[in-house]
Amino acid sequence: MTDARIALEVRLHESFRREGLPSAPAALLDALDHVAEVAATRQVVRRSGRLPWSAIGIAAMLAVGGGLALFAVGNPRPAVPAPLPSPSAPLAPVRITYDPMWTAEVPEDSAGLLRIAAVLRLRLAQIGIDAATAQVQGDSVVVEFPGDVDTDAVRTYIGQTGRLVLAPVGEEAVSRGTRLDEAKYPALCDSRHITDADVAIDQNGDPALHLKLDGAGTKLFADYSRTHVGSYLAIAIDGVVVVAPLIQNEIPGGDIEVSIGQNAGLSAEELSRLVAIIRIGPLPVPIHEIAAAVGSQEPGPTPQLAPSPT
Amino acid sequence: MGSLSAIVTDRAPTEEVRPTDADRRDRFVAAARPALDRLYRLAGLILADAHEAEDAVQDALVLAFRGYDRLRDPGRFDAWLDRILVNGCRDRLRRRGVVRFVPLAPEVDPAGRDPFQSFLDRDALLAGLSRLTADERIVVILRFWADLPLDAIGDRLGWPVGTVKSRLHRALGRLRENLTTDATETAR
Repeated sequence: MTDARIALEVRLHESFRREGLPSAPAALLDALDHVAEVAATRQVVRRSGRLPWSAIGIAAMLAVGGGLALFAVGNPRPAVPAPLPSPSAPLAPVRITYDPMWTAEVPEDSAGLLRIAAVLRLRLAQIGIDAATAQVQGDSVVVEFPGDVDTDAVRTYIGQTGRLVLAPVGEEAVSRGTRLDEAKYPALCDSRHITDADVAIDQNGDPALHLKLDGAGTKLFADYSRTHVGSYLAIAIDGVVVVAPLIQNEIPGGDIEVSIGQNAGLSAEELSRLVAIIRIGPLPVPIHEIAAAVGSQEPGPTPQLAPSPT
Repeated sequence: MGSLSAIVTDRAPTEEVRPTDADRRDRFVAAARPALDRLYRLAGLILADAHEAEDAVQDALVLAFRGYDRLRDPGRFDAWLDRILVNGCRDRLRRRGVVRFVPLAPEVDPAGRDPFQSFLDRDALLAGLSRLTADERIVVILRFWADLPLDAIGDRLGWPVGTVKSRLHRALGRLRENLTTDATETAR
């Protein structure tokens, strides 16, 4: 190690030591005390990174806000904008119209349309967009949500059919994003076998996807995994591989834990959206976006959005 | 790429061996409370933002509480909790794109600024952290602020020791470059 490197390391140590850092705020202590209640009710990662942290967090934020307001009154210096959520002007809502692509096996019917609307509404609620609506209008489903979100990401997320398959792919590793050849690699289980999904933490502390199979799925998976430890399983949504883990051991009980390693390229947000899609279940048929606009239902020119990435 | 690090294992139901819920919660809270200041400061230094640090710690606590039964060795609790937090912070940094770098505007009252950002800005060397990548920044903070040895850093990041060493080396090289550039610019 060179002298210059040692000098730099010593300086870094000293720089970090020079003075204290703030202690954990009281809101965090409260949060820890109520962790069980919050863990039972809250989705972990939502769209913006700033999360509604139950009533405790909101109460704490109001308390902080009140404190800052008092401080500003008593202080003649220009106030620094407080990084608290401020009531801003409501943004124009985004309105997207979808047409289902009915097939011979799943022909058009009103129950199907209602189901599509319900799934889309649930998908939006699952990522924290509670103010969204999804309604059947004629032969279409019209979704409306507030415009203060990453619109393209939301369209990509809600527009997918969401059909999940677990397909053994043998000894070869498969990359994320690969199109799964379902003729070559038939599915072992699919969406119909999944009874629940959630984000878990594995024993290393890394994020994991937990899937719970129903009775038939459990049996299929137990039989397969007994003889295929060490081969790969592709988990695909709408025919595209999301992750292809190695089967580490026999899975007899229908509880599958997929450790998402750090190099799997799946962020926490992507993982929580994947869980939402799996948990809610697929649309009965694929949908097709026929119109997307920002603005309300009133007549008049509305700026058109760029074509959906899907 | 995804397949290299992902594994699928059996998650045996833990209900039969799990103590009562209240018991589990009390054990978790007792173990996590002494770590709270450290977690908050670690997140604050990595994110340079007190509000985001608070959110990141809250997320990590919820995730850790849900996965508490998966931790087999209670002696690893701190390292395990740190890893969950660091994973979350790294995600936040990546979502942000680049680490925020806000030069200190003279008309802004420093007392009202973010405490972590002010701490980092007060020192030319620490201010250079904002120009590192997320992983470089995290490795420097774990080494020189948290005083962790290389293997403990590897444990928190899921990297082999060799990777910790090389990333640390790169990060220090870039910090030194930044310092030299800054000094040259000031001298002009």
